[in-house]
Amino acid sequence: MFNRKDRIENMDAYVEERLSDYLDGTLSPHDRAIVETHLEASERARASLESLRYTVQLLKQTPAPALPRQFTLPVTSRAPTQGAPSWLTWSLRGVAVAATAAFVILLTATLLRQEDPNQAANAPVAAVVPSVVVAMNAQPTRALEGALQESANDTSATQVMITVEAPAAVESAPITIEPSAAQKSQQAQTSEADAVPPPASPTEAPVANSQVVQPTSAAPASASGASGNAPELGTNAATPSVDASTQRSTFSEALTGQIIISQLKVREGPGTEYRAIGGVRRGETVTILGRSKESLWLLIEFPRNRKTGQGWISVAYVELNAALETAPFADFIDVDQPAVIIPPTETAAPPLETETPSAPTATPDPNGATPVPNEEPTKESNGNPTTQAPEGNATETPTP
Amino acid sequence: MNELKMIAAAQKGDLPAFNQLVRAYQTIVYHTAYRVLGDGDAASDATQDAFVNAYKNIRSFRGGSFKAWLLRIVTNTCYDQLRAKKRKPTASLDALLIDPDNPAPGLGEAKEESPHDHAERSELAAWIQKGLQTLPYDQRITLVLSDIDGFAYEEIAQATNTNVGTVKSRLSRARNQMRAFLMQQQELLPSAYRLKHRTGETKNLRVENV
Repeated sequence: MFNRKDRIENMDAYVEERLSDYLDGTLSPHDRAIVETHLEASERARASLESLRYTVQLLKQTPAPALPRQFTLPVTSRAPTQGAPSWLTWSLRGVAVAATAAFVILLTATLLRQEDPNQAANAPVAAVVPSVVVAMNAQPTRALEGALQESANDTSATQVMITVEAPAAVESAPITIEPSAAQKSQQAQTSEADAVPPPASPTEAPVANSQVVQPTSAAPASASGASGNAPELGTNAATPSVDASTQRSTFSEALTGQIIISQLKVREGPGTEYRAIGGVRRGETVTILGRSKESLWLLIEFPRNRKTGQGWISVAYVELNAALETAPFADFIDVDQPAVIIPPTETAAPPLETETPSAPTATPDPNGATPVPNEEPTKESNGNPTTQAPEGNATETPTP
Repeated sequence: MNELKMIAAAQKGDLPAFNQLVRAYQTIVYHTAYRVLGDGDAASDATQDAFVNAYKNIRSFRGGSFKAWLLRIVTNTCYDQLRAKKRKPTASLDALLIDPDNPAPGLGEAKEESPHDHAERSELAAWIQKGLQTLPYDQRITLVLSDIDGFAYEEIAQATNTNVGTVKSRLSRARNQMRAFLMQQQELLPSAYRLKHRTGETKNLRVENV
């Protein structure tokens, strides 16, 4: 009798230490068998398990505090470092200044030189120059660091030159210049500089577009679109080359949505008949992985769902950063499995059109609920490392 | 997926790409910081610092789980915050309030929650926050990442720069401590949430199937 009681008490201690793992199902089969046997024998152990389980459940239902604000970094943030010694950084800075200056000058020069070749090419030029200047004025250091970054990546001034020369001749070239046009004007717009409106008026742009089937014409279109009627002109801007379109579609995956009611349930499946597994709050941003067949439910990343890391929310209370159609369809199987994302197989055209005007904004102004046709710079600059850094960084100037 | 592309772009200095990552992770980062620091302002500071540090050091990310990599920065940043400022943790009740329309997981199907229940839940959340503050940092961060944020052991191990075995034992100790704390506060806890450890009585538990 005593013996048995002692044993149970010893076991209590042994089992007690393992209850946490037992709850999580991470015990070895051996230990699990011991724990389970003991649980049957000891009421104390059972009670302990229950209270522990209850504690964990309380923790799991701890409500999430509302996000007080967006934490996107301002454009003045320091660029990533490779751990280069600071003296080197400083000396490179001089080079960077020179490179940036050269870039602006070359750009202006090239653009002025090609007065005649075709009207379309002319338009983006005018759009670019003033805004570059704006950017430079607003954030000199930023531009420098950008250029610095560039030299670190061994993209030297020569490559910058290539970029600038390009629009004159080669057909692929306009793609390189296009982002800068769109980007700059967007930039200028955000900073509310007056320099924006490109000489090519919104009415002129489409004309140029039809005359010259070169992608270049998309630049004036989107440029004027940024300062004027964005959604409408966005469609024009969608015309450019295949290159640009592939870049877009890769980035269209970065679809996010912001919750616009105080609380929204996250469910295990696409429908109110499925269990609610948590909630998201107003202002929270969720990553959209897909949508249900009827487009009534959105599949989101939801790490709190331990089984799949996903959850479903109603489409009605989410403001997307791009058109709903850009989300791939997600095939719901059951609550224990991640949904199957069906890669979009439609033609490139529809996603392009819808996406251009409303893709995620690159400007650090997360509160702007209205979609801004601002994604282009991001995508393009990603796809085009050659042109990226000097522009990309110079552009990120505006917001306070 | 796209995340890798965004990371690659950010590594080249593409700030907008990095900000996409920020948008994707800010909620979880803030939430973690909030629970660990027990204070909204401190959590805001820590979250911002963590993202600044992440951007600065993003080139040191060499694959694997970005989330875990990021959380490691968060963990360290929170620790620095605690050490540097030695803030008195003050959990704001307001920030813990949750809309009755949407109880968090664990309460089973969201039935109508009466104002009374709602108030009790908020109160409970405040107690949990207090309980967290009684834990040593290692245990606290582990408990938050595991039971509140729902991360896997491996991710927690990476985030706290340790191994899975240590994560498990810290978690076990933290849960026990948390249970002890809640039981100590028995009388003060909302009646619906009191633990009935001694008697082994479990029917009072509101949560049965999670």
